[in-house]
Amino acid sequence: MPFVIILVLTGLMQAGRSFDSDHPRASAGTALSFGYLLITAFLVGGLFKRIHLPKLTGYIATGIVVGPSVLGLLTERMVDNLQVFTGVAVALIALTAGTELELRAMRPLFRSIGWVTLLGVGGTTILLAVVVYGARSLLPFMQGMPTVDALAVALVLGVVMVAQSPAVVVALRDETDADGPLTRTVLGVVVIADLLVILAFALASSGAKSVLRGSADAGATALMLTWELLGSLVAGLVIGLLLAVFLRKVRSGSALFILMVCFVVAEVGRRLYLDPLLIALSAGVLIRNSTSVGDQLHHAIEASSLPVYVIFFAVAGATIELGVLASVGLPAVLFVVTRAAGFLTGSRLGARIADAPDVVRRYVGFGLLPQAGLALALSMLFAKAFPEFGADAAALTLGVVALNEIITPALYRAVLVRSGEAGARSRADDRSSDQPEILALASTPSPPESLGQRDAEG
Amino acid sequence: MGSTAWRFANPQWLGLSLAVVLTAFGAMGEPLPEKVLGEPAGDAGEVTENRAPESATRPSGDSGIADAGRLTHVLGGSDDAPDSSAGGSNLLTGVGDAGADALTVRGEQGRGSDAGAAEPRETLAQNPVAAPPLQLDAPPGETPEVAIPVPVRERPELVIKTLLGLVMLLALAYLGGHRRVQDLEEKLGISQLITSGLPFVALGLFASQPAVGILSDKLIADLGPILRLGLGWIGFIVGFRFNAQRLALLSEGRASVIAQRVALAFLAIVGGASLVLLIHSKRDAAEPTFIRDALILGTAGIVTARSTARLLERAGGAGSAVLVSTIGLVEELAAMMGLLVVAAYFRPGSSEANWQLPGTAWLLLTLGLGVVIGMVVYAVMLLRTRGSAEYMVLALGSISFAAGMAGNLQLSPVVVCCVAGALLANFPGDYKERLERTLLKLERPIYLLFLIVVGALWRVDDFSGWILMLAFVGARLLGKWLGVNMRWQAGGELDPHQRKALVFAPMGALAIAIVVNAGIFYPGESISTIFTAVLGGAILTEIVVQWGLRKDPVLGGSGVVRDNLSNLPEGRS
Repeated sequence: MPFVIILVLTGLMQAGRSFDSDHPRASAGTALSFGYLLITAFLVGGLFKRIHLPKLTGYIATGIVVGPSVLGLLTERMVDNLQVFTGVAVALIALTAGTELELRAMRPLFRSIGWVTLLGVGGTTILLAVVVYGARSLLPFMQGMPTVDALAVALVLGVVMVAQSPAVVVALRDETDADGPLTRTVLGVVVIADLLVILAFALASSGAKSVLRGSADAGATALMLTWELLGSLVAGLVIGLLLAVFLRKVRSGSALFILMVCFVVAEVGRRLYLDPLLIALSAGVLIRNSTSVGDQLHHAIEASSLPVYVIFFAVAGATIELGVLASVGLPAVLFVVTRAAGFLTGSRLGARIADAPDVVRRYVGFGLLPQAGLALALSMLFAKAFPEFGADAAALTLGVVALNEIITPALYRAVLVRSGEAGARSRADDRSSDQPEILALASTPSPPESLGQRDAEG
Repeated sequence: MGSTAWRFANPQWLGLSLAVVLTAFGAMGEPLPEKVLGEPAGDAGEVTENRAPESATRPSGDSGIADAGRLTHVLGGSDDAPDSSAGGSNLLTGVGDAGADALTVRGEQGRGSDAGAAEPRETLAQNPVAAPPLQLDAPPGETPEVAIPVPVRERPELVIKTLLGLVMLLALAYLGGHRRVQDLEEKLGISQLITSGLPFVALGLFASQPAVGILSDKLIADLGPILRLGLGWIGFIVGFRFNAQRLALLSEGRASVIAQRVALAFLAIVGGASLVLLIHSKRDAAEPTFIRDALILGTAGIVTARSTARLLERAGGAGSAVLVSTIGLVEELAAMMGLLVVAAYFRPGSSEANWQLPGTAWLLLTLGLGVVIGMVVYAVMLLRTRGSAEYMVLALGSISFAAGMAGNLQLSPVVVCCVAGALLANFPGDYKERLERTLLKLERPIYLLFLIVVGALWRVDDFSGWILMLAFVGARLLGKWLGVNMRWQAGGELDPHQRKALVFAPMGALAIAIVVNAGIFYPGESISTIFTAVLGGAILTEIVVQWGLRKDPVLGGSGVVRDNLSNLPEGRS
C-alpha cells in the first residue's frame, strides 16, 4: 500500500509541476513540496524500518531521490524555500538535545566525554589533516601548493570534515528510544565537539589566511568568535529563562510559544550572526538543569518532533548533489574511511583511558560518524573564505558529508540495537507503570547513582 | 477545555496586547519610510516602483536561495549593509559574506543574492479603489529580498528589541490569564474579539512594519506556504464537517426554508455591498471584475462563525444549537459553491498558465482534483499508524500537498481541500476520530500563524476598504436579518434568541479564508479593498456580537465562545 501511495503522489506531483513550469507559484510550490516530502519521506522511512534501517536514512534517501539530483520532482528553488522550515527544525532539535543533557546524571560520564572528545575528535582532526596533506597529489586544488600553505589548508579541511551531527544523534535516540551510558556519552561528545569544531574552524581558517595571504586580523577573529559563541550562549540562557517562566506560570499553549520562540531564534539569530543551534541548545540545558520544567518542555517538543525530523532530514537529503560525489569519489571515500578509522580508534582509546563501560568503549566512535548541518555550513564557509580553491575543496568536503549522511546513521542505529540501549526508555517506562507508584519511586535511584551503577555494570 | 484555560492555550489576548505595546515600542525606533505613491493603471492598480538607493546592499551570493516568488507589496530599502568587520562571515550560520545557510549544500547557493539594489516600498495608490496589490508571489524574473545580516552597531539594539518583545509576550500571556484582567476585558466588551484570534492579525500587521523589522518581506514570502496551508486547513475542516447523513436527516421542508434563508441573505449582502462598491469605485456594473468582487463579498459575508451555535449551546439550547449549526453548514456549502464559481469563471489574469480551459472545465477540474486528493488522503489514512505524531505527519502532509497542488494549478485550495475533507468525512473507516483530534490539535496554531501572515499582508491604509467595510457589515446585518425574519413572519421555527444569534453572528475563519484566497488569486487588483472590507468586517462583527448579545438575558450570560472549526466540543480538546 505505501508503494502505491508513493507512486500516486509522485504522479500527482509530476502532473502538478508540469502545469506551469515556467512560473510555478513559489508559495504553492513550497506547500506542495512540503506536503509531498513529508508524506513520502514518512512512508519511505517506514519501509526502511522494515528492513532494519533507520527511518531517518529513509527520510534522507527520499530527499535525495525526489530532489534535484535524481528525479528533480523538487526543484532547487523548492528546496531552498523549504529552508525556512529547517531553520525552525534546527532550533527545535537543539532544544531537544539541550533538554537531554542532564548534567547531574551525566556527571559520571564527564571523564569519558572529555577523553573521547580529546582523542576521538581532536585526534581525528589531526589524522584527517595529515591524510589530506599526504594525499594532496589526489587533490588538484592542492597540487603545486607550498608545503606550509598545504599544511594550513589541510588543517582547515581536517576541521571541516571532522564535524558531527547532534541532530542525527538526537533523532536516532528518539527513533530507537535508546538510553544508557553509550547514548548519553555520544550526545555529550557531539554537543561539546560542535562548539569546539566551530572554535577550531575559526582559528584554523584565520591561521590559513595569514599563511596564504600574509595577513590576518586576529582581533577581528577573536571579536567574531566571542560574539558568536558567548553571544549565542547568553542569548540561549535568556531564552531558556523566558521559556521556563512561561512553562511554569502560563503552562498551556506552550507548544505554540515554543514554536514562536524557535522561529524567532532561527530568523533573528541568523541575522545577528548568532547560532540558532547554540542558542536553543543552551536554553534547553538551562531548563533541564536549573528548573523543574525540563520534562514539561520535553513533552511539549516531543509532540511535534516527528514532522520536524522528517522534513529536516528529507530536505538535508534533497540538498545532496550526487554529481559532486562522482567528481570527488576516490578522495571522498579515502577521507570517509580515514575519518571513521580516526573516530573509532581515538574514541576507543579515550574511553579506555577514562575507564568507561565496555559498551562505551566499543561503540562510542560510531555515534560520532554521522554528519549533517554543521559540516555543510563549514564547507560553504570554506569555499567563501578561500575563493581561489575553495569551490573545489568544498566539493570534496560536501562529498564526504554526503557519504556520511547516507551511510552512518544506519551504523549508529545498528550499534544502539546491538548495545542493548535501543528501547531502554520504553522498557523503563513499562517497568515503572507496571509497579505501584510507591514502589516505582522507591526503585528508581537518583540519576547519578543509576548511571554510576550502569557504568559499573557495563 | 474551558474558556479560561483556552485563553492561556491560545493567547489571542496576548496578540492584541503585544501588538499595542510593541507598536509603541517600535514607534520609538526609526521612523517609517515615507510612503511613495504609485500610479495605478486602471483596475489592475499597477504601482510604479521607485528604487531605493544603491547603498542598500545585499549580501553577495551566486544564486539567491529564494528567487522564488516573493511579496512585492512591501519591498523596503535598507541601509543595512552586511558587516564585514568581523571577517565577513558567520561561522555558525553561514550568513554574511559566506552567504550560505547552515544546510545549503548546493554549490554556491546561499541566502545571499545578487539581487542588487533594494526594491522599493510599494505604497498606497492614489486611486483609492485601485489599492496596492495584495501579492504573494512575485512575477517571474523579479529578484527576491534576502535576509540581511544586521551591522555590528545595530546588533545590540535588535537583541534588546527581540528579547524585550519575548519578555512582553510572556508578561502579557501571564496577564492575559489573570482573573482581574479578564474581568476588565468583560467590562470593556472585547473578550469575544480576543477569543476569536483576530488580535494575531494585528500582531502580523505590527511585526511587518519596517520599524519593527521582525516580519521582513523575505520572511513573509517564506511564510507564504503557511498561508496556503492555512487556507487548505480551513477548507479541509469545513469539508470534514459535511456529514451527508446529517444533511439527509433534514426534512425537505426545513431544507427548503434554510436554503431560502441563506439565498436571501446572500442576495441582500451582495446587493448592499455591490451598491456601495458601484458608487464608490464608479465602475461599470457589467464589468466582470465588479461582478467577481461582489460575489466574493457575498460569499464571505454569508458565512456564520461556528461560535454562534456554541453560543446557543452554552445558553442551554442544544436543539437551537443544532438548528443554527445546520444553517451554518448550509451557509458554508453556499460559500464554497460561490468560491468555486468565482475561481472557475473568473480566472486569474496571468496569461502564462499552460492550460487554456473554459470556466466549466476549471470548475470540474477543481472538483476532480479534490476527489483525487481525497481518495489519496483516504488511502493514506487507512495505513496502519500507531501514534498521534504519525497522524500529525499524515494530516499535515496531506493538507499541505492538497493546498500546494491546488495553488500550483491556480485552483482554490479552500475548495479543493473542502472536497477532499468532505470525502473523508463520508468514507467508511475508523480513522475519523483520530483525524478529527489531529485536526483540532493543529487547528489553532495553524490558524493563528495564518492570521499573523494575513495581518502582515494587510494594507490598513486603504481607506476605501474601510468605507466598504461599513457598508459590507451593514449589508450583512440587513441580509441576515431578512433571512431570519422571512420565515418568522410566515410562522417559522426560529425563536428570538436564535434569530438574534444569527443576525449578530460573527463571520469566522472561512470568511477570512475566502478573501485571502481571492487575494492570492487576483493580486494587484481591487481585491485589496475587498480584503480590508472583509477583514475589518470580521473584526467589527466580533465586536458587534459582544455588543449585540451582552444584554440578552439568555445569550448574554454565555460568556466567550471560541470559533472552533471542527466538530469536537471544547471539552475534548
